Amino acid sequence: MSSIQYLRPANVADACELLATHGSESQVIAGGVALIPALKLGKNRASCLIDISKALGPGSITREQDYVRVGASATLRAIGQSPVIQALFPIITDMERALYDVQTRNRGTIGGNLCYAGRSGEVAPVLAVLGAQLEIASSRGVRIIHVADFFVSHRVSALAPDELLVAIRLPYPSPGTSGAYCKEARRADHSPIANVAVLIDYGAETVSIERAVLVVGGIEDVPTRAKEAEALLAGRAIDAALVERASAMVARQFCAAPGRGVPPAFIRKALSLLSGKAISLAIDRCRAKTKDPS
Amino acid sequence: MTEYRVIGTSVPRVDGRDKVTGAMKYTSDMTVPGLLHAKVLRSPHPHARILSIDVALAAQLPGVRAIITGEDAPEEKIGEYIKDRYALARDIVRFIGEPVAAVAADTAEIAAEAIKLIQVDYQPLAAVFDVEEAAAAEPAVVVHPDISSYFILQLPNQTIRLPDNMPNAYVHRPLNCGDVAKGFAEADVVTEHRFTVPRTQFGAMERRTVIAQPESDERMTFWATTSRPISDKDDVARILGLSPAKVTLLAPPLGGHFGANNQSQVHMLIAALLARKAAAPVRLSLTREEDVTDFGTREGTVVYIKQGASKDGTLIAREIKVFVETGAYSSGNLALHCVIMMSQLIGVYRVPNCKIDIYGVATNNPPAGSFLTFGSTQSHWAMEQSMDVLAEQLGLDRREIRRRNILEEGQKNPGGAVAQSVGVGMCLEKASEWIDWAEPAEQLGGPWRTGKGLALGCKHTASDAGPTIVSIKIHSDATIEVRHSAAEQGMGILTTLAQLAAEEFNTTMDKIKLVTVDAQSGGYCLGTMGQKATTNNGNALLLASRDVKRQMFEAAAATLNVQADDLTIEDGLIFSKVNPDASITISGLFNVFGFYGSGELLGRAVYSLAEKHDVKENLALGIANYSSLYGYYAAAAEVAVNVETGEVKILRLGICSDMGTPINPRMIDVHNYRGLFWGVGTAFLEEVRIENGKIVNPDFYRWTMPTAMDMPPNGAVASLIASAPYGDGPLGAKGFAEGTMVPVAPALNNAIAAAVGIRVGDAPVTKDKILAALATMDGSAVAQA
Amino acid sequence: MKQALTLTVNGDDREIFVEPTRTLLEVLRYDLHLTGAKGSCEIGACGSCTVMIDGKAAKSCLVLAGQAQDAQIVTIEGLAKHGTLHPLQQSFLDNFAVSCGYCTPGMIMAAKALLDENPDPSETEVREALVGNLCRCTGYVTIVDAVLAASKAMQDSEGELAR
Repeated sequence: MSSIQYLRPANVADACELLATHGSESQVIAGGVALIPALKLGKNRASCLIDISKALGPGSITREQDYVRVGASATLRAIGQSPVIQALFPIITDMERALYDVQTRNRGTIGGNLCYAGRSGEVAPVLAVLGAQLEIASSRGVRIIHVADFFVSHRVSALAPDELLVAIRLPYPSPGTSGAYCKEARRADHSPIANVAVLIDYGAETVSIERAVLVVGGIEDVPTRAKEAEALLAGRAIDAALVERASAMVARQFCAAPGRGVPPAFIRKALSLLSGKAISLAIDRCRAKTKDPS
Repeated sequence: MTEYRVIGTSVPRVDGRDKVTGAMKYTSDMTVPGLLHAKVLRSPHPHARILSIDVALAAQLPGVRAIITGEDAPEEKIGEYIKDRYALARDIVRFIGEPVAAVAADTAEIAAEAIKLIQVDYQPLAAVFDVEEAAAAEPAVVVHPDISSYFILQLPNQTIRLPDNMPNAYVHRPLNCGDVAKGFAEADVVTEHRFTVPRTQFGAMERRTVIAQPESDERMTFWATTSRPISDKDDVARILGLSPAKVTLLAPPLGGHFGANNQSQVHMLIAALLARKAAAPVRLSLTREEDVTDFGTREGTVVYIKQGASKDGTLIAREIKVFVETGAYSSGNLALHCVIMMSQLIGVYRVPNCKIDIYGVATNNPPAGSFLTFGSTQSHWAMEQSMDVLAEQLGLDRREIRRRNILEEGQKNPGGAVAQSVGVGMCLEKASEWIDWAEPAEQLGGPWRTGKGLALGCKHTASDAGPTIVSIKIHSDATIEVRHSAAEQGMGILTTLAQLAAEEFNTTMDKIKLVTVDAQSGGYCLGTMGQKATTNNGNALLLASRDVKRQMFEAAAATLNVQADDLTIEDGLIFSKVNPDASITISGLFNVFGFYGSGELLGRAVYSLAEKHDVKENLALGIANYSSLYGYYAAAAEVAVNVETGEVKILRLGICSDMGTPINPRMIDVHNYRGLFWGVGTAFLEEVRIENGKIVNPDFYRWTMPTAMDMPPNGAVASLIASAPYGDGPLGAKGFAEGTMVPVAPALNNAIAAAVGIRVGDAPVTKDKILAALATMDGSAVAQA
Repeated sequence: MKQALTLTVNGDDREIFVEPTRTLLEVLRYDLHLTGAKGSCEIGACGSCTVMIDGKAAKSCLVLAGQAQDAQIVTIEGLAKHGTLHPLQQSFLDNFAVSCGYCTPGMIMAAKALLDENPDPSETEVREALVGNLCRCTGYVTIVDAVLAASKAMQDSEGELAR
């Protein structure tokens, strides 16, 4: 690693300029918790590391008019401890608590986790159900994309070599909306074998689900929506049988590739359990928000 | 009960302060001026012929100081008991990761760059990975075709024999007593099962590391992670063609061991050869992947067990067949492993008719090492679950069936040795009482089903492993210096020895000083392994103390005009028990000896276990001398199993160990807790996965040991102590610490079986296996033999 | 490419001339000779290299020297003052939380970061805070005990001071 060049631009403009110059042979380093092991194990190569910690600063979490803006360099721990996030997005707190360990959350950033774009990413499905928008900067200017358009394949994102993820915009949840996140891992602090993020929107009424978003990670190369299950849930009044049917649908949709040390049958079972748990938890949260007496 | 001043007291560890401040220096913290760094080029093939090696390009890289290949390594093969391997491969490589060449360079990065420039042409050969395929009479691949020509170091009364009709087996160790066929015919119930325990890694936090420094006159100094400084020094000296007197081996405390450093020290030899060639000190620190690949794992084990019992639960016959998958080389003590595994298979129960066959089998997987408990974990995983199955089939209580069959003091075990210092019954009573065995498990409702489990275990204490020498130096300020060669692996041997010395000299702990082990100035000791250090080094220490006390008392008696036999010592003062006014301080005594101002007294002793439990080998019967000294254990578990998710919650988990006289109770607790932790890992989490000869989860991320969150809360665990004093032990103590994990995993799995009626025979018992077994519910998860 | 960096370690500014892409762990151990933080897994999976960076626990094998500039770094060597052990160190000693000792410095630093933030943690909170620190010797029982006992001792002595 010592032969790798290290650059630490002072601001976003400089960072973009360096990215434009060094492009694909460089790697952006934020917290470094995924990149450094990958470099050490030879799974990732770079001739130059661009440390964006100074350029992006500590990554603040601010309430804007239409969204909460989270700086890409906000650490996972800072996000988990943020009162704004805790109040508005319990699904993010679920996710943060299940991520690695304290030391890693102290250094790892939300932007880093997202840009790593690994199949087993934990931030990705959560931001996907929340409908996050991403602020991406380059010497060419700033562009905003929807998180759903960000993931191309395993470890490949829509970021061009000269682009830098600057911030994440989380739209405010409507009053009848809440989400939940669950994962299955070999050990609690591990990357998931599978994970499920769910967003349930009861709309103004709390009688039936107006809209449901379910995203599954860990199986396909990119976080993927469980559209059949979403369609099943939408417009229906909730009961245990419905949750079970939806969960079974999720499990049917995804076919895990063998060879990950876990039998595919177990992954299907896990998906169904995770979906059931996440849907139920999200519904409970919606009801608590709207103080639905049922 | 004897009243002791220091023994039985939880004094703080003597090495604790340096460890909490970060001041303790481990091998990995050492450096010397002009140090070069080594990297090893390893085989990418599980089995291949080396056609050529070209190091020319690597040699041209600036900063490269020495390159070695098999040509540079001594022609002598290395290995414990069976010499089957070169330090660097010649002609053939037999596993992915076998060392082929090595480079010493100014920096580790240059060395890493250089090994990429070494060009090796291989001709790949067919390979075998599955132990039972390898164990066939006509296997597709023979890993060591010349095995019959290899040198074998034979132990007295424990002859190592190559089996007939199994070309890949290094060892066949049989035992026959009684008549099993007749026994099974007489039995009311017969059960048969197959159990497996996979490989896991040692997981010592400190990776194996060595610095080799050449000195003038061909002398060589090492700093090394080792548990057996003197044996390593002797081995390395022999292979390098040096007198053992020319090798100094400094053995700093180890950052964990668990067997990892008991292997043939291939990396030490590589560092030494590079250092010699470069004429400069060389450091070789294995990467985590290298550490796990070369003698870094437990042997994978398949156990077939058939048991027969009468209606009242009395064991009548047992037939056990074990395949120990050792990988490409046996040098991780395979031969001894099989001897000791046999001891563990016959240590707990009376079985009148017994047939056991252990096969140590080679494959093209990475070589496994002599791992914590030496096969006892695998043995008891099978036996203790089988005992539960037997009880279930007979409708007997699972504690009761164990009570009825436990070997008692003075009875002969199936190997013909007389059981001694047997605390296993006490352990069973204490552990089962703690878990309220007579009460049913409390039900939680919903998808959760609860159950309780018990298991027993023994771990052979290798106190018969050769003589041990300790000397004691007395300084004029009454400091007692213990010169020994016991490597501190973390288990607390330094504290144990200091407590024994303080007790023997009736003084305080601060007056005891233990030397740093350098394999020259301390006395001989085979190594700290096989949980024998307390017994052997402790006994030698007491004898050496008495030797120097005799010298002091004789001199004092002459000066004080009293009988030497009447003298005693307390806090550095020697006085007469009949006339306490007749006394002399140690500094006063030094003048008597003719030391003025400076000086020291020296006592020394050799301890060797009297061979009073010797069993003469009978090759026809398969009887050998299996020592009958054990640490004994019982574990008790209560678990809740979620029948919908397969999740297991440990509600309570306790262990009782028997270590004879307890020397430091809180240190014993830590060993018991470690046993629980390793047991939980074995039962639920740990597995080194090998695919086509390649370890796919070598690192600490993909390979999973339990974290603090995987263990039950402190209120749910227990460490219990039973004491069956060992007459030949130091003040009645015996080794026990290595074996505390032995009964834990089977107790957990027995609790799962009690809770949900399924039994997964293949460790680790993961959620997917539980769900699969629940789905069938016909017990098919326990593969039938 | 080597460059001059200033790291603030245990309150002292230390000038070093190193490649900024070397890890903080390597720099601490080999350049500053502070060998208390240990290398073990080298990929952030074991925690034996844990130090505190700006008051938060971090795995120093996952931090580049360049990233550690402008930060306050505390290592195990910075805890004992004038030969007096920090209450956590004393508690690890008293509670037999040390065996081989290789994970100990990292454990203590992770525990210190916890107690600095949460002086009165529950047992579960202690376990959560130590999930990134592996120990192969103790089963964590005595380590958890030691952190809880240190927390109590520190609060008691705070109370003493307040009175």
